[in-house]
Amino acid sequence: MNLVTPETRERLETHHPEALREIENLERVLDETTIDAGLLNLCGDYFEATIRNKEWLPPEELSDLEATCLDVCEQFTLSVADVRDEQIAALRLHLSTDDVYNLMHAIYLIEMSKRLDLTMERALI
Amino acid sequence: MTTHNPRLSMDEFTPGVSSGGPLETTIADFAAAAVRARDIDPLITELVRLRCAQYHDCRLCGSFRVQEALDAGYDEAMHKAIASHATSDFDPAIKAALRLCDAMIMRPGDIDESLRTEVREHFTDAQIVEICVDVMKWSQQKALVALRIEAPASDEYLTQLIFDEDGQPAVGERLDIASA
Repeated sequence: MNLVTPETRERLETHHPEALREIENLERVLDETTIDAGLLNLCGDYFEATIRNKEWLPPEELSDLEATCLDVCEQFTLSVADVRDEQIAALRLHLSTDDVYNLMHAIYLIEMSKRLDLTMERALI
Repeated sequence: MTTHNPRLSMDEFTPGVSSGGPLETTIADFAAAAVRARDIDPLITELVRLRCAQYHDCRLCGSFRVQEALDAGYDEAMHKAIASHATSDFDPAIKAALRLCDAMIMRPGDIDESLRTEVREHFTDAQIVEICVDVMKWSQQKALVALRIEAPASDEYLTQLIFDEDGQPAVGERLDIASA
Protein backbone atom coordinates (compact mmCIF):
# COMPACT_ATOMS: atom_id res chain seq x y z
CA MET A 1 0.00 0.00 0.00
CA ASN A 2 1.08 3.59 -0.53
CA LEU A 3 1.51 5.34 2.79
CA VAL A 4 2.27 8.79 1.39
CA THR A 5 1.32 10.86 -1.65
CA PRO A 6 3.69 11.41 -4.60
CA GLU A 7 4.16 15.03 -3.39
CA THR A 8 5.27 13.85 0.06
CA ARG A 9 7.55 11.30 -1.56
CA GLU A 10 9.16 14.06 -3.61
CA ARG A 11 9.64 16.32 -0.58
CA LEU A 12 11.16 13.49 1.45
CA GLU A 13 13.42 12.51 -1.45
CA THR A 14 14.74 16.09 -1.52
CA HIS A 15 14.99 16.79 2.20
CA HIS A 16 14.95 13.51 4.13
CA PRO A 17 15.81 10.62 1.78
CA GLU A 18 16.59 8.24 4.65
CA ALA A 19 13.06 8.64 6.02
CA LEU A 20 11.63 8.00 2.55
CA ARG A 21 13.62 4.75 2.21
CA GLU A 22 12.22 3.57 5.52
CA ILE A 23 8.66 4.56 4.61
CA GLU A 24 9.05 2.55 1.39
CA ASN A 25 10.26 -0.40 3.47
CA LEU A 26 7.21 0.01 5.69
CA GLU A 27 4.95 -0.05 2.62
CA ARG A 28 6.50 -3.37 1.57
CA VAL A 29 6.11 -4.83 5.06
CA LEU A 30 2.46 -3.75 5.20
CA ASP A 31 1.88 -5.50 1.86
CA GLU A 32 3.26 -8.71 3.33
CA THR A 33 1.49 -8.57 6.69
CA THR A 34 -1.19 -11.08 7.60
CA ILE A 35 -3.68 -8.26 8.15
CA ASP A 36 -6.28 -8.12 5.41
CA ALA A 37 -5.35 -5.51 2.78
CA GLY A 38 -9.01 -4.52 2.37
CA LEU A 39 -9.22 -3.70 6.06
CA LEU A 40 -6.10 -1.53 5.90
CA ASN A 41 -7.41 0.27 2.80
CA LEU A 42 -10.69 0.93 4.60
CA CYS A 43 -8.75 2.50 7.50
CA GLY A 44 -6.78 4.54 4.97
CA ASP A 45 -9.93 5.84 3.27
CA TYR A 46 -11.41 6.78 6.64
CA PHE A 47 -8.29 8.65 7.82
CA GLU A 48 -7.80 10.37 4.46
CA ALA A 49 -11.30 11.85 4.65
CA THR A 50 -11.37 12.60 8.37
CA ILE A 51 -8.00 14.31 8.57
CA ARG A 52 -8.91 16.45 5.55
CA ASN A 53 -12.32 17.31 7.08
CA LYS A 54 -14.15 15.66 4.19
CA GLU A 55 -17.45 13.90 4.44
CA TRP A 56 -17.03 10.14 4.27
CA LEU A 57 -19.58 7.38 4.23
CA PRO A 58 -18.46 3.83 4.94
CA PRO A 59 -19.37 1.13 2.44
CA GLU A 60 -22.97 -0.03 2.92
CA GLU A 61 -22.14 -3.53 4.04
CA LEU A 62 -19.46 -3.72 6.66
CA SER A 63 -18.36 -6.92 8.37
CA ASP A 64 -18.29 -6.93 12.18
CA LEU A 65 -14.52 -6.70 12.06
CA GLU A 66 -14.58 -3.73 9.67
CA ALA A 67 -17.14 -1.88 11.79
CA THR A 68 -15.17 -2.58 14.97
CA CYS A 69 -11.94 -1.47 13.33
CA LEU A 70 -13.49 1.79 12.10
CA ASP A 71 -14.79 2.45 15.60
CA VAL A 72 -11.23 2.07 16.93
CA CYS A 73 -9.85 4.27 14.10
CA GLU A 74 -12.30 7.03 14.99
CA GLN A 75 -11.14 7.13 18.61
CA PHE A 76 -7.49 6.64 17.62
CA THR A 77 -7.49 9.79 15.51
CA LEU A 78 -9.65 11.89 17.86
CA SER A 79 -7.76 11.05 21.04
CA VAL A 80 -5.82 7.83 21.38
CA ALA A 81 -5.76 8.21 25.15
CA ASP A 82 -9.52 7.70 25.14
CA VAL A 83 -9.58 4.37 23.31
CA ARG A 84 -11.68 2.14 25.54
CA ASP A 85 -11.01 -1.32 26.93
CA GLU A 86 -14.13 -2.68 25.25
CA GLN A 87 -13.07 -1.40 21.81
CA ILE A 88 -9.88 -3.47 21.95
CA ALA A 89 -11.80 -6.39 23.48
CA ALA A 90 -14.15 -6.22 20.47
CA LEU A 91 -11.20 -6.45 18.08
CA ARG A 92 -9.93 -9.47 19.97
CA LEU A 93 -13.14 -11.33 19.18
CA HIS A 94 -11.98 -11.36 15.54
CA LEU A 95 -8.19 -11.26 15.67
CA SER A 96 -5.36 -13.03 17.46
CA THR A 97 -3.23 -11.12 19.97
CA ASP A 98 -0.44 -10.87 17.39
CA ASP A 99 -2.81 -9.51 14.76
CA VAL A 100 -4.30 -6.93 17.14
CA TYR A 101 -0.78 -5.75 17.98
CA ASN A 102 0.19 -5.52 14.31
CA LEU A 103 -3.11 -3.90 13.33
CA MET A 104 -2.62 -1.09 15.87
CA HIS A 105 0.87 -0.45 14.49
CA ALA A 106 -0.52 -0.43 10.93
CA ILE A 107 -3.23 2.02 12.01
CA TYR A 108 -0.56 4.26 13.53
CA LEU A 109 1.42 4.26 10.28
CA ILE A 110 -1.57 4.92 8.07
CA GLU A 111 -2.98 7.66 10.28
CA MET A 112 0.28 9.52 10.87
CA SER A 113 1.21 9.24 7.17
CA LYS A 114 -1.99 11.05 6.25
CA ARG A 115 -1.13 13.72 8.83
CA LEU A 116 2.39 13.96 7.40
CA ASP A 117 0.98 14.43 3.88
CA LEU A 118 -1.40 17.22 4.84
CA THR A 119 1.01 19.01 7.18
CA MET A 120 3.78 19.16 4.57
CA GLU A 121 1.28 20.09 1.87
CA ARG A 122 0.04 23.06 3.93
CA ALA A 123 3.32 24.12 5.56
CA LEU A 124 5.50 23.92 2.45
CA ILE A 125 3.39 25.60 -0.23
CA MET B 1 -14.10 2.08 29.95
CA THR B 2 -10.81 4.00 29.67
CA THR B 3 -8.20 2.57 32.00
CA HIS B 4 -4.44 2.20 32.10
CA ASN B 5 -4.69 -1.58 32.38
CA PRO B 6 -2.91 -3.49 29.60
CA ARG B 7 -5.41 -4.58 26.96
CA LEU B 8 -3.17 -7.31 25.59
CA SER B 9 -1.07 -9.75 27.55
CA MET B 10 2.51 -9.55 26.37
CA ASP B 11 2.90 -13.22 27.32
CA GLU B 12 0.64 -14.01 24.38
CA PHE B 13 2.89 -12.36 21.78
CA THR B 14 4.64 -14.66 19.35
CA PRO B 15 8.24 -13.41 19.21
CA GLY B 16 9.18 -12.43 15.67
CA VAL B 17 5.52 -12.10 14.62
CA SER B 18 4.20 -9.17 16.62
CA SER B 19 6.76 -8.11 19.20
CA GLY B 20 10.07 -8.09 17.34
CA GLY B 21 8.25 -8.90 14.10
CA PRO B 22 8.82 -7.30 10.68
CA LEU B 23 6.38 -4.43 11.23
CA GLU B 24 7.75 -3.45 14.63
CA THR B 25 11.38 -3.71 13.54
CA THR B 26 10.78 -1.69 10.36
CA ILE B 27 9.01 1.00 12.39
CA ALA B 28 12.11 1.01 14.63
CA ASP B 29 14.29 1.50 11.51
CA PHE B 30 12.11 4.44 10.45
CA ALA B 31 12.41 5.87 13.98
CA ALA B 32 16.20 5.56 13.90
CA ALA B 33 16.33 7.35 10.53
CA ALA B 34 14.24 10.17 12.00
CA VAL B 35 16.56 10.48 14.99
CA ARG B 36 19.70 10.47 12.79
CA ALA B 37 18.56 13.71 11.11
CA ARG B 38 19.99 16.35 13.39
CA ASP B 39 19.43 19.67 11.70
CA ILE B 40 17.10 20.77 14.47
CA ASP B 41 18.34 21.95 17.87
CA PRO B 42 18.11 18.99 20.31
CA LEU B 43 16.22 21.16 22.78
CA ILE B 44 13.49 21.83 20.21
CA THR B 45 13.39 18.14 19.28
CA GLU B 46 12.93 17.20 22.94
CA LEU B 47 10.13 19.72 23.47
CA VAL B 48 8.36 18.41 20.36
CA ARG B 49 8.85 14.83 21.62
CA LEU B 50 7.39 15.72 25.02
CA ARG B 51 4.48 17.57 23.42
CA CYS B 52 3.60 14.40 21.49
CA ALA B 53 3.94 12.35 24.69
CA GLN B 54 1.68 14.76 26.54
CA TYR B 55 -1.01 14.94 23.86
CA HIS B 56 -1.08 11.18 23.26
CA ASP B 57 -0.83 10.47 27.02
CA CYS B 58 2.16 8.20 26.46
CA ARG B 59 3.42 7.37 29.94
CA LEU B 60 6.52 5.63 28.59
CA CYS B 61 7.67 8.63 26.50
CA GLY B 62 6.84 11.00 29.35
CA SER B 63 9.05 9.07 31.73
CA PHE B 64 12.22 9.74 29.70
CA ARG B 65 14.39 12.77 29.15
CA VAL B 66 16.84 12.73 26.23
CA GLN B 67 20.38 13.34 27.41
CA GLU B 68 21.32 15.49 24.41
CA ALA B 69 18.52 17.90 25.35
CA LEU B 70 19.62 17.99 28.99
CA ASP B 71 23.10 18.91 27.73
CA ALA B 72 21.53 21.65 25.59
CA GLY B 73 19.84 23.27 28.59
CA TYR B 74 16.51 21.47 28.96
CA ASP B 75 14.96 21.84 32.40
CA GLU B 76 11.66 20.69 33.93
CA ALA B 77 10.20 24.21 33.99
CA MET B 78 10.11 23.86 30.20
CA HIS B 79 8.07 20.68 30.50
CA LYS B 80 5.51 22.58 32.55
CA ALA B 81 5.31 25.29 29.88
CA ILE B 82 4.78 22.96 26.90
CA ALA B 83 1.01 22.68 27.23
CA SER B 84 0.61 26.46 27.14
CA HIS B 85 3.48 27.12 24.77
CA ALA B 86 1.67 29.89 22.89
CA THR B 87 1.71 32.11 25.98
CA SER B 88 5.03 30.84 27.35
CA ASP B 89 8.36 32.66 27.30
CA PHE B 90 9.90 30.07 24.98
CA ASP B 91 12.05 31.38 22.14
CA PRO B 92 10.02 32.18 19.01
CA ALA B 93 11.63 29.24 17.15
CA ILE B 94 10.49 26.81 19.87
CA LYS B 95 6.98 28.26 19.77
CA ALA B 96 6.85 27.89 16.00
CA ALA B 97 7.99 24.25 16.18
CA LEU B 98 5.43 23.43 18.88
CA ARG B 99 2.67 25.16 16.94
CA LEU B 100 3.53 23.07 13.88
CA CYS B 101 3.62 19.94 16.04
CA ASP B 102 0.19 20.74 17.49
CA ALA B 103 -1.27 21.32 14.05
CA MET B 104 0.05 17.98 12.80
CA ILE B 105 -1.19 15.92 15.74
CA MET B 106 -4.52 17.77 16.03
CA ARG B 107 -5.81 19.46 12.87
CA PRO B 108 -3.30 19.71 10.04
CA GLY B 109 -6.04 21.11 7.79
CA ASP B 110 -5.98 24.27 9.92
CA ILE B 111 -2.42 25.18 8.93
CA ASP B 112 -2.80 28.66 7.47
CA GLU B 113 -0.70 31.53 6.19
CA SER B 114 0.06 32.75 9.70
CA LEU B 115 1.54 29.42 10.82
CA ARG B 116 3.33 28.97 7.49
CA THR B 117 4.97 32.38 7.86
CA GLU B 118 5.89 31.79 11.50
CA VAL B 119 7.46 28.41 10.79
CA ARG B 120 9.34 29.59 7.70
CA GLU B 121 10.74 32.54 9.61
CA HIS B 122 12.72 30.13 11.78
CA PHE B 123 13.22 26.98 9.75
CA THR B 124 14.35 25.96 6.26
CA ASP B 125 12.24 23.58 4.17
CA ALA B 126 14.56 20.72 5.15
CA GLN B 127 14.12 21.53 8.84
CA ILE B 128 10.33 21.71 8.48
CA VAL B 129 10.38 18.26 6.89
CA GLU B 130 12.60 17.03 9.73
CA ILE B 131 10.15 18.34 12.35
CA CYS B 132 7.22 16.67 10.55
CA VAL B 133 9.06 13.34 10.33
CA ASP B 134 9.99 13.71 14.00
CA VAL B 135 6.35 14.23 14.95
CA MET B 136 5.46 11.06 13.07
CA LYS B 137 8.26 9.23 14.88
CA TRP B 138 7.36 10.65 18.31
CA SER B 139 3.76 9.53 17.74
CA GLN B 140 4.88 5.93 17.23
CA GLN B 141 3.74 4.94 20.71
CA LYS B 142 0.11 5.72 19.81
CA ALA B 143 -0.18 2.02 18.99
CA LEU B 144 1.00 1.09 22.47
CA VAL B 145 -1.18 3.75 24.13
CA ALA B 146 -4.27 2.33 22.37
CA LEU B 147 -3.36 -1.04 23.87
CA ARG B 148 -2.21 0.52 27.16
CA ILE B 149 1.06 -1.34 27.09
CA GLU B 150 3.16 1.85 27.36
CA ALA B 151 3.99 1.61 31.05
CA PRO B 152 6.54 4.20 32.20
CA ALA B 153 10.18 3.21 32.67
CA SER B 154 9.60 4.04 36.33
CA ASP B 155 6.59 5.29 38.26
CA GLU B 156 8.83 7.10 40.68
CA TYR B 157 11.52 8.91 38.77
CA LEU B 158 12.57 10.15 35.34
CA THR B 159 15.01 8.10 33.29
CA GLN B 160 17.74 9.13 30.90
CA LEU B 161 17.26 8.22 27.22
CA ILE B 162 20.30 8.12 24.99
CA PHE B 163 20.43 7.81 21.21
CA ASP B 164 23.62 6.58 19.58
CA GLU B 165 24.97 7.80 16.24
CA ASP B 166 22.80 5.26 14.41
CA GLY B 167 19.69 6.64 16.09
CA GLN B 168 19.25 3.57 18.27
CA PRO B 169 17.78 4.25 21.72
CA ALA B 170 19.24 3.02 25.00
CA VAL B 171 17.69 3.44 28.41
CA GLY B 172 20.17 5.15 30.70
CA GLU B 173 20.28 5.92 34.38
CA ARG B 174 17.84 7.36 36.85
CA LEU B 175 17.82 11.14 36.64
CA ASP B 176 17.95 13.19 39.79
CA ILE B 177 15.46 15.75 38.59
CA ALA B 178 11.88 16.05 39.73
CA SER B 179 9.16 15.61 37.12
CA ALA B 180 7.22 18.86 36.60
